[in-house]
Amino acid sequence: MEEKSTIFTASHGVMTTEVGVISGELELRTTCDDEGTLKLAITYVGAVDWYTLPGEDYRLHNLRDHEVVHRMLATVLKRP
Amino acid sequence: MLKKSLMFIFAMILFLVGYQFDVPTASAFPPGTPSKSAAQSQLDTLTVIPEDSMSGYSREKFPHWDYKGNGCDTRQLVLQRDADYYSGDCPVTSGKWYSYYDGVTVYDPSDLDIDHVVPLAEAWRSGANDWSTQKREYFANDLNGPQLIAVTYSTNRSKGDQDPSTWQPPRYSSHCGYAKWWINTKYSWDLSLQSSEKSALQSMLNTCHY
Repeated sequence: MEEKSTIFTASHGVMTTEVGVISGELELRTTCDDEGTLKLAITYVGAVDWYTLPGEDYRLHNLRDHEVVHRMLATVLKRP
Repeated sequence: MLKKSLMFIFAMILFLVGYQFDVPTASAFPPGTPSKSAAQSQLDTLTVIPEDSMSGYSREKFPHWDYKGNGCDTRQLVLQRDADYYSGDCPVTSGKWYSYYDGVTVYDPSDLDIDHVVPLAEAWRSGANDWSTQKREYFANDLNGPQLIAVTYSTNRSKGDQDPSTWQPPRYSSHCGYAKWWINTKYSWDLSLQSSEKSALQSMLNTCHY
């Protein structure tokens, strides 16, 4: 199980499954298990609840791709 | 022949009158909506400061929807209040609603969300982080002011936690009402606002006629 985390600003927000759009200083956390199954979670920096990003069943064929997928996602979501 | 065309005209009039009544009404105005001038003076007194952090935030720190008696919770009461008509008494099973943000008419209550006009997360970063849980509960279930309104699920989700500087209702003619509700809620609950939010609210309030 590998976990990666990035903090970024999304002034216009990011869509979540549970509560719709959340905005401001956010933390993206992606986890990848040994089978390559990827899970995406997001929260306000310092907040208690974690939310999921829409979409599921993401599967990496090579675990080393986790790094680039995580970085790509954090870059796309970032909108200062 | 004359009789026939008279009948036709009569039928046309009936049709047009019926159509008139079918036009969505602004029946969904929540209580406490201020006038333009009252909203303006409320806006002028609000404290302008940068937002607090979201540290410690959880939606559970704003308990909602409270039980209000007779089998109804706050959510059901707003559904009833905002309906043109409805059937089913907690839960409401069907009816007719006009979603003020997008102008969509809805007949199935599961297509509706009860929007917190000032979102819970937005309240947290503009002062509610210092409140007791009980005060936050009153805020999240406030039926006295214009803080709760039934709108389509999809507009509520696209709004999320955003303030008027990043999200405004898609229907332009609802901007006036939306600004009034937002301002009145922040004023009544003594919440602060940030400068980008204030200028967005001012532009929206300027679209009001009264």
